This record gives sequence, C-alpha cells and structure tokens, in this order.
Amino acid sequence: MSATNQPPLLDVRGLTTEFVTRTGAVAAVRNVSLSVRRGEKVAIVGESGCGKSTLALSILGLVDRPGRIAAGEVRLHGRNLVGLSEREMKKIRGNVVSLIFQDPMGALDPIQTVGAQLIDTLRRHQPSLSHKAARARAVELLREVEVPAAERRLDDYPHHYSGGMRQRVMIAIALANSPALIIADEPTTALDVTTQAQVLALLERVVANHGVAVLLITHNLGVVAEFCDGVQVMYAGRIVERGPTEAVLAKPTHPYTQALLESIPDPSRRGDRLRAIPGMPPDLSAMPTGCAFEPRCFHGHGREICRTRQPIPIAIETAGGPSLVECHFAAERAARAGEITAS
Amino acid sequence: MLRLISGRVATSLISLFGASLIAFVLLRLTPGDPARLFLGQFAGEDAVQALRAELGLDGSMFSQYLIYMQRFLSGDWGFSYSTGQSVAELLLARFPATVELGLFAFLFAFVAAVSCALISVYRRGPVSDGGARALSFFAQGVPPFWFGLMMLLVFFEGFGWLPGPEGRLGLRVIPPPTVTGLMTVDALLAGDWTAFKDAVRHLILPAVTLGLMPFGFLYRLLRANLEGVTREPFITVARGRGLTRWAAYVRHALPNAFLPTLTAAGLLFGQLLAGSVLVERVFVWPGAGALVTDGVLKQDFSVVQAFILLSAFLYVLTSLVVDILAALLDPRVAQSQGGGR
Repeated sequence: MSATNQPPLLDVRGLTTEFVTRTGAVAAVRNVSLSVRRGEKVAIVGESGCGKSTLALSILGLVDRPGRIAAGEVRLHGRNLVGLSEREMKKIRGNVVSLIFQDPMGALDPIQTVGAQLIDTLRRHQPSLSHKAARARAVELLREVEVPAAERRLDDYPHHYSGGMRQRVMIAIALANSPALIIADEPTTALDVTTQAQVLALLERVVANHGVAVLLITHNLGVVAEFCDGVQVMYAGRIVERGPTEAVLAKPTHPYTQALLESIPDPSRRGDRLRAIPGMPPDLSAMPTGCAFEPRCFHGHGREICRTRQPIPIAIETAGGPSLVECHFAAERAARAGEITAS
Repeated sequence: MLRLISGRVATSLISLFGASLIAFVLLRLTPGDPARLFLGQFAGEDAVQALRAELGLDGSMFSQYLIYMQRFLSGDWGFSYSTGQSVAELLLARFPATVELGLFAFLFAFVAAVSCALISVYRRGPVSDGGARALSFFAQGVPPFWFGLMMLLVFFEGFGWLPGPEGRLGLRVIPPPTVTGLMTVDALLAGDWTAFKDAVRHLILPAVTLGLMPFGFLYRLLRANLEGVTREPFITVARGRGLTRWAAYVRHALPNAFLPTLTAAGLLFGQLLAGSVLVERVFVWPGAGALVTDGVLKQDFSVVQAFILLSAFLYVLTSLVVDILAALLDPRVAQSQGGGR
C-alpha cells in the first residue's frame, strides 16, 4: 500500500446528492466522505438502492436534473469538481477519471462500431493524434484487454460482441487515456460466473500494470476480499463502516456489515439456515430519525439512543489500520469482537 | 446488403402492380360513361360507340388493363377528356410544383421536429417542455387551409415580409429554363440567384403550412424516443468518455432515437409528395392537386389514374429508400434481414 501521508488522489468530503421530487428533496447520498490514494483500490459495498451508483455518478458530475449535489466537495488532485461546468468536466471524464458501467450490453452505442467509440475517446482527449495513430492505439488497447483478432474486431458493432467481450472493450475505453482513477460500477454483475472471474482478473492485471487507482462499486463481498485494499460499507446513502478490507471483512464492527457477511452462504456452516437480513432498507423519503439501520438491527433491540440519535463515526483501531464505524455501540462491539478472537 | 435491396425492390414492384390494379378497377367501377361525357349530351349514339371503341372501352376489363399499362409504360398516358390535352403533358407540367412543395414542407417538418425534440429533451425544463408540447398539439390539430390563410394575413398582409398567393414566382421574375421542373433547382442550375431567392420566398409559407401536421407528428414521436434513449447507459458512458451532455445527445442519442421514426418519416414524406389540394388552393400553387380534383369531378379518369400511379410510384420509391437507409444506419437491421455484415 502507498504511503499514508501522501495527499489523496480523490477526496470526497461531506457529499450529499439529492433528487428533487414533488413532495420534496430525497437524499440518495448523505454526507459521504471517502478518499482514494494513488494506485489504491477501494470498494464501496452495499445492497441495491443504497446509493452506490449515485455516489459514483456524483463524483463524475453525471447526476442530471432532477438530481443535484446539495452539499460537499469532490476534490481531485486537490481541485474541487463540484460546480464545474460541463466544458471543464469533459476534460476530466475519460481522461483523468474514467468510468466502467455495470451493464455491458447497454454501455456501448449499438449503431457505432466498437472501434469508432474507442477512437473517439482517444482523439477527444488527444486531439493531435491522427486517425491512423488513434486506430493503431485502439488495436493495441483491445489486445491489452485480450480481445482476440483485435484488428478485425475493431470494425464490429457491439452486438457482435458477447457480454464479457463488451466489458473488456469498456475496460479498454476506460484505460484509453491513461487515467489516474477508474470508477467501476458493478463491472461484473451482469456477467456469468466464469466470465466474471476472467474480467476481474483482467481488470486486476491492467490496473496493476498502469498503476491506476480504482473505486470499485459492488455488492459482491468476494470480489472485495480479493481485489481491494480498503472497503466502505454503504447503507441508505451513508457510509456506515470503512476500513482496511481484511479488518472489516474478518471482524465487522457495524451490525449491518456483520449481517451482510452472515448472509453469504458459507460451506463450513452447511446445514445451517442462511441468515437473511430481516426487513427492507428504509424509504429514502421517510428516513428514521435515529440510526437508519435500527429497524433491522439485531444489536440495538430498540434501544432509545438508536431510535432517536443519528450515530457519529467512531474510530476503531484494528490490526490492519484505523476503521470508522457509524454505530453507537461501535467501541463495545469492537472490544467484544476482540475478546471473542482472543479467547 | 445486396440481397436486402433486391428483396425490397421486388416487394416494391408488387406494391406498384397492386396500386395500378386498384386504381384501374375502382375508376372503371364508378358510374358514368367517359365517352358520353367527352362528346356531350347531344352527340349521336354512333359517335359515342365509335369513341368507346377507339378508347378501348368496349373491350373486357382485363384487356383494357393490359392496353392501359402497355401504353403507360411506353410513355403514352392517354389524354384528358375534359381539356383534350395529353395527360403526360398536363401532369409533368404540374407535378414538379407539387413535389417541390412537398420536399420543402418535409424539410421544414424534419428540421423543426429534430431541433424542437432535441431542445426540449435537453433542457428538461417545464417551460420549454410545455411550450413545445403545446406547439405540437396545435400543429397536429389546426386545419391547414385556415392556418395558411392566417399565415398570409400575418406575413403578407400584415408585415409584407413574404409574397402573397401568387404561385411559385413573383410576376416580375423571369422563370429559369425548365430542366427538372423544380423551380429552386432550375434557378440554381441556370445560376439565376434572383429567381432562386424568389422561389424560396414563395415556398416558405405554403411549405410551413403543409409541413405543420407532419412536424407535430414527427416531433412527438422523436421526442418520446429521445427521452427514452437519453436514459440508456451508453449516454452516461459517452459522457464518461469525455463528451458534453449536448454532444452525447447529438452524436449518440439522436441517431438512436431517429431510427425508429425513420419509417414514419418516410410515409409522411410520401404523403407530402402527393401534395395537398387545400394548401395548393390557398396559395394558388400550380400543382397537381387542383388538376386531380377536377379530374375526379369530371370523371376524367386518365388524369386521375396517371396521378394515382405516379403518387404510388413516389410513395413506393420513398419506402424503398427508407428501408435501404434504415439498413445502412442500423447494422442490426442489415444483419437480421439476411444482409450479413
């Protein structure tokens, strides 16, 4: 891992994104802070609808009306991106920060060739590049992401590609202008398991080769364990626990993280009932006044403080480094987890 | 691609055959005797019979059809009973005016629909949204002849910006030599800038009037498609690659939204080419519309039949062009219809 005192590449502070509806503003991302250092791989995990994708789009300034960034900063190399014009942002998108989208089937324009879209990405940010040179570079990129017969396949349309191949193309497009950060929004979710593993391995390799930082958005904790240095657990628009991957996954402190981990089938607990988290995430337009997870929490047991007060992040010292946990009982739970492992 | 085109040409020929058959049979089945009409009520029965024989009206329906088609294809479209002129001459003198008006009306409808749809979807504001929607309802609902008169009242009578109902050119402008029959094209070919400008000025009001309904229709269709396409992931991805929202809309959303409207646009275009009697009347446009209504009223069926065939030909031709265009623009169509890649 890179040195801790290095200034972060991406520094998100107190970001709140809301959608204005007839009945009022609904915040999908609430006061989120996170940072990604150069070359670091950070995961954001959470169930569907928790605001992960909105967070990704907010960082790139891609949230359109009726959505808007209501508060906070997105600092890239120290420069705040919130409020920049579309003209300024287009120089950053696809150049300094690129995006890999979750749905490879719909992420490419169906009526343009794959090559046209790849070459367009290159030449937009490198206007001096001739069409021929851009084409040569595009072939190189397709080879790097292991698309067979790259030269010929450049002139194919997206519908000639399989899902896995399209996601490789997306990775090639993301890499095209040697970005400092790739935001990958569920890059393997829509693929079958074998292809998932291949695409993930490829992503891991190219990221390592280029030294690109990655903000990986996923609901797959297996992917997080394998791929990421740090993890942020998101629930109802807030980051409820964050820390080094190993520490968070081995000893989850927040009840939600623990419940999430326990809901994964574990071969060593064969015969046990799979533990699903009871209930549903809260309606974003009618959030509980206290902790957002309180209605589903097995720890609080309806304690007064959980229902009435929004927990503040509490720092926990773990073996892998510091963690932050938004739970009133974080310290107590961390200590108990320590005892359990100690005994 | 070649297979696709040849298939389309074959279906087009079948459509044309069908159109010719329907036009022929329907007109023969309407009551009235053209020979009697032509010669007048005082002509003797012998003379009427002689003319019927000369016109081939005494033969069977089938032989009449064969003779008609044979002559039609060799360029002999018969003559008009009411005017005594050759139908080919009559129609060729007037049809280009109708076609030119149709072309400009479509140009207006298309450009206006695309710009309005793009702007209203891009801005997403309630004002531009509601305004454009109201405009399209108006466009689809207003009777064209009334709208044409209002346009004349405002832009000719009121402001005097545009010429009044005086046909295709001003009285003092010398028409360019006829090559294509399209006034603007002929003027350009002759290098006559004055005539070109005058022809365009004369086209504006009738073209807008005629194109208003297709504009409203195309706008609503395009807008609905565009709204759907702008929510597609590839638009977000295109912006993530470094396109501004506007660029992503124009380069990626518009072509994808346009594809499904292509067929509808082609049909509208075909309809516009066939002209509109009412709009031509209002603007004293020397098109085929008046000729054909007169032909129908006077049972001058050589004229009507030739007009139907000519319109059918243009209609089928536009459909053919649209199909080929769709295959060229959308790689998936070419592939699914046996074109390979």
